[in-house]
Amino acid sequence: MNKTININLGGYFFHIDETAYQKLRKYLDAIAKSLSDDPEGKNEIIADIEARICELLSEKITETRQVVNELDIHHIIKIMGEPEDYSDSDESFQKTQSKSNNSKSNSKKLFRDRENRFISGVSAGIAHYLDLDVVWIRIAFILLTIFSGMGLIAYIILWIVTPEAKTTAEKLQMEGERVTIDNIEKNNAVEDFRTLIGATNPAEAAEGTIRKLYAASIGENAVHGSDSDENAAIEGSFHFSAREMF
Amino acid sequence: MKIENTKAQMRKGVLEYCILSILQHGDAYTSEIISTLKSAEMIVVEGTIYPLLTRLKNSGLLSYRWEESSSGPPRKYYVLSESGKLFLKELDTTWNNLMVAVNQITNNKK
Repeated sequence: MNKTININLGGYFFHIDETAYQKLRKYLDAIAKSLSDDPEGKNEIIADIEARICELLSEKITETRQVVNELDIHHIIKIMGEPEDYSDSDESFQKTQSKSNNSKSNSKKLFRDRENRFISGVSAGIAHYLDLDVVWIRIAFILLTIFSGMGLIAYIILWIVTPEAKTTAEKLQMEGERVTIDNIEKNNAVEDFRTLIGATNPAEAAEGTIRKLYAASIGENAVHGSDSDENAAIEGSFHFSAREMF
Repeated sequence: MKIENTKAQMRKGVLEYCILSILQHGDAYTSEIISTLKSAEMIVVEGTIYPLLTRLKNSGLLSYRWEESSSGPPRKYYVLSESGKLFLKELDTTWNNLMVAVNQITNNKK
């Protein structure tokens, strides 16, 4: 059983189930994005596309089948083409694509960087925020302390008020990287997964980790995590065929 | 260099010419234009056509009118404008020259 949603497409009224709705929404958004270099004609093009989808969908709806489902949407995408097919010139789409992948988000946040700390990570955090080498920040604090004493007070206040970057998402925000699945994955996948599963010997594993909860001994430790990408490739091929790995 | 890209580029170049030619024989609405192009295997997916039609319309080569349809939403009928006809004539000449030129090159087996 699926919840259905009512939509208005090209002036017509459709019942569409929830998953199909999400698919269609995503599809139309992606098309709008690939047309973004052409703002004046964009709304008109989208209206034309919606009218066409409406036409295709109304062929599928009958007395006995009144709800648009996921398969219908797949069928429509197959007829209409992938979002990149809508782009008038090929290069412009690739350009906007790579732009959105590489762009650092503007909303950098100030965190303390414990990984590069000397005392508490305040300077390293500021260095990320200002895109400067951490040495200059440290020298500035030291000089301010020697000449006015303000440096030390400022440092302590910053230490207190600035949160520490603990999660991968916070570390990315600190460096001004966008928090996307891609970035989180590439940042620390191996390490984060090993933290999640816990120490190899279940007796030493931290509370809340998979091995602490489910594993009996070193030999039967419930889950396996490779220690690097290279080893993952080697160890992975023991257990799975190439077809089963992503 | 992907063969699919090159093929698509080749087809894309003459797509505008094809659309104008279709409309030369009479007004047509979007789906008709698309099905003609599809049956001639000029396009695989429909997506490419919508931005192209809008661009041709905005540059004054096409105009359109709405017509009610008994089944489904009102249809957008495209009409070849006067400047579109001139444009098409130009393209006819260019296409014929191009065909001769390409034939000459590809058939030359010396």
